[in-house]
Amino acid sequence: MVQEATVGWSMIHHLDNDQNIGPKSQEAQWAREKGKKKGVNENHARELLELHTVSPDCRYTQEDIIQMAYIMSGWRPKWGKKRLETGDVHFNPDAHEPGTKMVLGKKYKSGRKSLSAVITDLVNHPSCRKFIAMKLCRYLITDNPTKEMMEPIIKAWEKSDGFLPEVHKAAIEVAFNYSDRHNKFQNPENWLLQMSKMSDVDLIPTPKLMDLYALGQKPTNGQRSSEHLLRELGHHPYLAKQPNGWSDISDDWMSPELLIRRLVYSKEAYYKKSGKSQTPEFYEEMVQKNYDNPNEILQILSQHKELVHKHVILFNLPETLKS
Amino acid sequence: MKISRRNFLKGSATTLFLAGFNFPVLANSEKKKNLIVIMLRGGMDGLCAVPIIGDKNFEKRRKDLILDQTIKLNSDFALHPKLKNFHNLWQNNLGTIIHATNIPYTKRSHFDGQNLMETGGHIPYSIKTGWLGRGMKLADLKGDGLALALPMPLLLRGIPSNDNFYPSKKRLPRTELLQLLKSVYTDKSEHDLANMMEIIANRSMMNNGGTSMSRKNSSLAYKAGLELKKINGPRVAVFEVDGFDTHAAQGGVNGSHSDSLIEMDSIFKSLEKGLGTEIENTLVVTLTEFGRTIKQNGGRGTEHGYGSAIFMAGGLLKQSQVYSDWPGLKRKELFEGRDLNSTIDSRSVYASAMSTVFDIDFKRIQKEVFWGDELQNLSDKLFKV
Repeated sequence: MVQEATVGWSMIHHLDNDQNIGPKSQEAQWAREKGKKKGVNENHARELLELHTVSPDCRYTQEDIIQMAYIMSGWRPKWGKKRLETGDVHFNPDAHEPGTKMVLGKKYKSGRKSLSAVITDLVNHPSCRKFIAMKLCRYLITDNPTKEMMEPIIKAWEKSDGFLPEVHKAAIEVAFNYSDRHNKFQNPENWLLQMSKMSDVDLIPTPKLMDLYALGQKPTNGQRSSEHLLRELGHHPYLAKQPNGWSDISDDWMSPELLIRRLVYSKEAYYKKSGKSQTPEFYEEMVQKNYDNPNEILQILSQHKELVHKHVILFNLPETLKS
Repeated sequence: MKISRRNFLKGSATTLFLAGFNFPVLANSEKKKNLIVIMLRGGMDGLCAVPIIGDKNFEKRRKDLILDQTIKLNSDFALHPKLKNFHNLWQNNLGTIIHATNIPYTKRSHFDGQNLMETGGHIPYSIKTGWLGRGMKLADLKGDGLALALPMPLLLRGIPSNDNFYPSKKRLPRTELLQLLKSVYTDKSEHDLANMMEIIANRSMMNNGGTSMSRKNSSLAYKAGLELKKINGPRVAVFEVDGFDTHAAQGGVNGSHSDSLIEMDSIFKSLEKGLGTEIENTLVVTLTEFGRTIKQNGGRGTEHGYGSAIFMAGGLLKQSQVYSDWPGLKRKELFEGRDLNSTIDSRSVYASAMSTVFDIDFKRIQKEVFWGDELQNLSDKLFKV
C-alpha cells in the first residue's frame, strides 16, 4: 500500500515531488546553463518518513530526509488532456540525483528501483510497526495509548508480515478488550455512522448508488450527500487543511459550534427515518441492546415526550458522544 | 482570594490593588483589551492593496494591473480605492500598514505557508499549536478565544476552551432540551461538555435570526464585535478570508483580488460598528502566507511571491502610518529577482501586538511563543504603550 500510495498521482503532485530535482542531475545541469537554479524539494520525502512510515520517533536526521528526497527525485505526475487529478506517474531519469544514497544507515543505488527498495525497508522498520499500532490505538481507544495496548497489534504485524487485515483484526480485538476502561470523544464522522446504524436512518448513500460512480466522472449530488453532511458537521472528508489529515485527538473536536452541529443534525436525521422505526418501542429496544446502563438512559429519555427530542438527547448523551 | 498570574500582573500595574479595593471593582475598572486576527488565505498582494507611488519599475511590470483613482496615504504609498472603510479608520488615526513584511518562509506552497503563518514556525507541520494560542496560554486567557469558523483554526490551538461560531443552516433544538443535556453532563462530571452547552444555551448571537443568519464575514464581524465589547466576553477573535490566490484575471479596481480585499474591508467596518467605542481598546491585524510577484503573468494574474503587507486597525495604534523599511523594486533589490522583499519579520509585529494587548513583556513572548527567534520589539513604534 505504501508503495502504491507513494507514487500515486495526487501524492506526487500535492507534495511537490514534481519540483524535486537532483542538484547533480541532468535537468539541474541544463537549468544552470540557462542561469537558473534547481534542486531538491523535501516535502514528499519528509512526509513519507514522518507521516506514512517510521515517524520522528525513529530519530531520523535532516540528512536522512535530504537523502530520501534524492531517491525520490525524478518521480513526476503526468498531466492528461482533461487535467483530472487521477493521471499516471512516471520516472524521469534526467531529474534523478546520480550516485549512492544513504537513509537510516543503509545504502541505496541510484535509479528507479531505489524508491521501492527504501520503502520496503521503511515499512519493515520496528518504528513503523510501533507508529501504526499507536495510531490505530489512538483512533480506536484513547488519545494516549499504552505499551500494553500496542503490543498485540505489533505482534500480529510481525506474525503476518504486515498483512493489513490481520493487523486490523488485532486492533479491533484490543479496542474491544479496553472498551469498558476508555471512552473517547468521537469525531463527527464516527458519530454520524454510529447514529445512522443504531437508529436505522438512511444518511449514507447505498453501495448500489456509489457503484454507479466511475473514476474520472463527476459524482452526482446523491453520491455526494455524505460529503455535504460531513462538511456541515465540520469533518469534510477531502478538506483537511494539513497533509496529516484530521486530528485523532479528542480535544480538537470539542468546540461549541461543532457540538451545535451534532444537536442540529441529529434532529435532521430523525426526520429522515422510515416510519417503521419512529416508534417508542424501537428506541427502547435499541437502548437495551446498545448501552451498558439502559435503565438510566431510558429514565433520562422519559423526561421528553416527543420521539424526535428523545432521539436528539440520546445521540448527544456522553454515553454516545464518548465511546 | 484566588488570583491568577494574569490578574496579578494586571493588578500590580495599578495602585488600586494595593490600596485594598476588592477584586470585582478592580476587574470592572480594568480596561479590557481585544486582539483580532484576520487570516487572508491564498497570498495577499501587498502591492495591489498598498501600491507604491511613482515607481517606474512597478508600473513597467504591471501594465494591466495598475489601479486608477488610488487613495494617497503619504508621499510614497497609496491605498486600493475600494478599501473605503480602512481609509476611514486611517483618517481617524486608527489605521496602520506594515509594508514589505512576511513570515520567514521563502518557498511558495500555500499548504506550507498557511501552516507556518499559523504556527509561526520554520518547518512546515512540525509545530502543532498556533502562535496566538501559545500567546494566550502565556497570558492565561483560557476560554477567551472566539473563532468565526467551523473547525477551530490551528492559529488558536495551544489553549483549551476556545469558542467558535459559524451559523448553522438549521435551527437549534428547543431550550429545555439543551438544559436537560447540560444537567446530564453536569451530573456525569462531564465538565467540558457542560461548559460548551452553557456557552451554546446562553449565546445570544446564535439564537436570534434562526436559519436565515448569514455566514458572510461582514455579518459575523458585527456579531463578534458585540461579543468582544462585553466585559466578560471573548478577548481574542479570528476571521478567515479566502480567495487571494489570483493566478489569472486578478483585475484592477474591480476583479477577484479586489473582491477579497473588499471582504476584508467589510470586516473592519462591521467590527467598528459592533465594538462601538470599544474599538479604542482593540487591535485588528491581518496575516497572510506570502505576497505575489511584481510582474503580471500571461493571464493578467500574479504568481506566488514573498513580501506582502499587514493591515492594522484600532485605538491601540500609536498613529496612522505606513511603517516600512522599503527594500526597493529594482531588479537586484527584488527577492530572487521577482518578488518584493521582506525587511520586517511579520512575527515581530505579532509578538509586539500580543505584548501590547495581553500586557506581557515582549521578551517573554519572544522566548516562550517564538522559541527565542531574533525578533524586533516594535511596540513603541506601532502601539500606544
